[in-house]
Amino acid sequence: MTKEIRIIPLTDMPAFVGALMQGRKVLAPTRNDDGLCVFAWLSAPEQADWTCGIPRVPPKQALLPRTEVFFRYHREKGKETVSPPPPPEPQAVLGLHPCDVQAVKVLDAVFSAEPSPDQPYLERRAVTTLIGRGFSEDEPLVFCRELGIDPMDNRDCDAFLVPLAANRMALEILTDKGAALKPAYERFPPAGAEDRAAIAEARKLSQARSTPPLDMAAIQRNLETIFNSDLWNRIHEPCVGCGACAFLCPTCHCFDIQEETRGLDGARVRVWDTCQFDLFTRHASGHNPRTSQKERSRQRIMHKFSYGVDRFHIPFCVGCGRCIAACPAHNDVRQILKEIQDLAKAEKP
Amino acid sequence: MNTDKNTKPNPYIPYPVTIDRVVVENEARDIKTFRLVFQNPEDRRRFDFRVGQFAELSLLGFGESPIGIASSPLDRDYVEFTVKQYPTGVVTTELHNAEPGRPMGLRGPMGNGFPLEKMAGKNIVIISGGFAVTTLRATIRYLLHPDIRSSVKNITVIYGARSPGELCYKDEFAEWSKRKDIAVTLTVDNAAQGWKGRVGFVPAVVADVKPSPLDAVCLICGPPVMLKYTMPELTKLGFKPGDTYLSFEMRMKCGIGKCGRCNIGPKYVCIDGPVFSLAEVSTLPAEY
Repeated sequence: MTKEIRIIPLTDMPAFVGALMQGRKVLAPTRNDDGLCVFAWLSAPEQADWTCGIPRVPPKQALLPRTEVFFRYHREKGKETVSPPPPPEPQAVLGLHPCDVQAVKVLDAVFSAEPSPDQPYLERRAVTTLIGRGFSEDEPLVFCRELGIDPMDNRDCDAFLVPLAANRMALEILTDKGAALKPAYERFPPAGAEDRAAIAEARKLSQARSTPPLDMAAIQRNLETIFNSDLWNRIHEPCVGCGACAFLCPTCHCFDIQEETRGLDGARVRVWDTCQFDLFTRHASGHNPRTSQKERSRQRIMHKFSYGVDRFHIPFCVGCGRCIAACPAHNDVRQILKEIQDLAKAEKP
Repeated sequence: MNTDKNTKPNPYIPYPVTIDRVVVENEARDIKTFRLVFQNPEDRRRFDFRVGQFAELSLLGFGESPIGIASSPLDRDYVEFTVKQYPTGVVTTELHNAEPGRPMGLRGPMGNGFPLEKMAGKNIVIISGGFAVTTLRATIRYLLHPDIRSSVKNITVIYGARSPGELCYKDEFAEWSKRKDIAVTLTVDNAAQGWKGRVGFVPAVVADVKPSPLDAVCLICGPPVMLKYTMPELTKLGFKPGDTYLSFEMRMKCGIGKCGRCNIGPKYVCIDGPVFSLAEVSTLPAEY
């Protein structure tokens, strides 16, 4: 069976987005008050901005909210009642760059892993529809091609938008969840042979621009031998430990569990946290296994390119470049990766 | 992806339990043992643990704290935890103020526990210092159970504390000291009036007692300084790194390998540990 493809003129995108918003929340690229592109929940269909490249704020909040209530409670003397939150509402994430789709795969791997799958995450994931978006031009700072991710690749999406000539988008329907969007796309005409050929051509052009990927296996191997290398001094010395790299990373998922209380009522909540902070690992006794920013900077790189790969066979970096754009100290993960490749050649453990 | 897994229970919601009994363990009164009973008896069966595992003690409004299980799995009616209070510890401080009858929560069991399969049929050497003895107390209780005792050969225990008043589980150790099927040596760092046991640091006592490494598995829990000086003594006696196990402590939150803070290199202490053999530890970066 041929894949269903519909053609949506850019001027009709608000109508499509508006229909998507019927019965589900939609997270999409928008511009904030400062004109910066961010993924945010739409309150009106016109807010979705198709001029955004990679939004500075990633879409991970759709699956891992900044603050997520595990349960609420009420305490009285001798009695406590716990109530779980209502089940998550259906939602769609619209306009994901293929590297952000890969980031969802990383989160899926972590949160579905045994022995204890993360039930709140999986519940939210089950009601989430992923609508990716192809990019015919390479965005600045994005190095996903070096990680083997093609900006036109529609894999792991439920539906996928491909930009076409004459200010139009093609909407590819890829899964049952994608097909469930029918009420939103059925008013738009199916793609003809010419548009199908144009989509195929766009994919071919993108693949032709592929760059030699980084040797991730070599990087992982090398990282095992340079735990005590001087490299970590060079990385951490300019680092101010702000954690922007982690909070803006689409794959960083480390979290804290906190209490929010008012009187005898309260909630136990999951909040974003980062290995870049001193408190992250500090014991109640005061002992801290990662005493300085050096250990913490090293942990972030090791987790992404060694430990994560070890456990899940997938790098915890998708080449979106957000950390490069945000770092106040101008640390550049592309340089760090190249250095790790070369360093292990020059330096024996 | 497979979303069938979302039919599993939410791992972040604790079992409701009630504090049944509180025992002050030491003279400083900052170590107490809490006996918890499950409010729904079927939860005790779900809380199916082995010695050496831990759980998150949950106090609504205060938070959670990961603590080793101090009772034996064969103590079927309750679960016990021995908790040291730290002035900086919000949860441990609130817990130390709690009295029997107070409801609280329990999440777990978590972690791998001691290698019971490997211990079967072996001589068992247990070395501990201070209040790190908790999961080893669970192990001794378990191994001494009439149904279990014959599954291992000799049991040798060396346990030390700063002073006699700081030894935990005093009554139990006194009783075990009288038994023929376990060899217990208690020691304190400084001589004290009325103390009839040994005086000396754990490493020196290990060197003196000379537990045999033959056909033996050694479990060791204690403060870093004790571990540092006891390991060379065990090596001198001939204990192999693959047969010596220790249990790590880490700041933990989720306890199920998600929140990302308790790793030592690629290993998560909460799911791959807390128990590691010395052979495994030697392959990990010294970030603990």
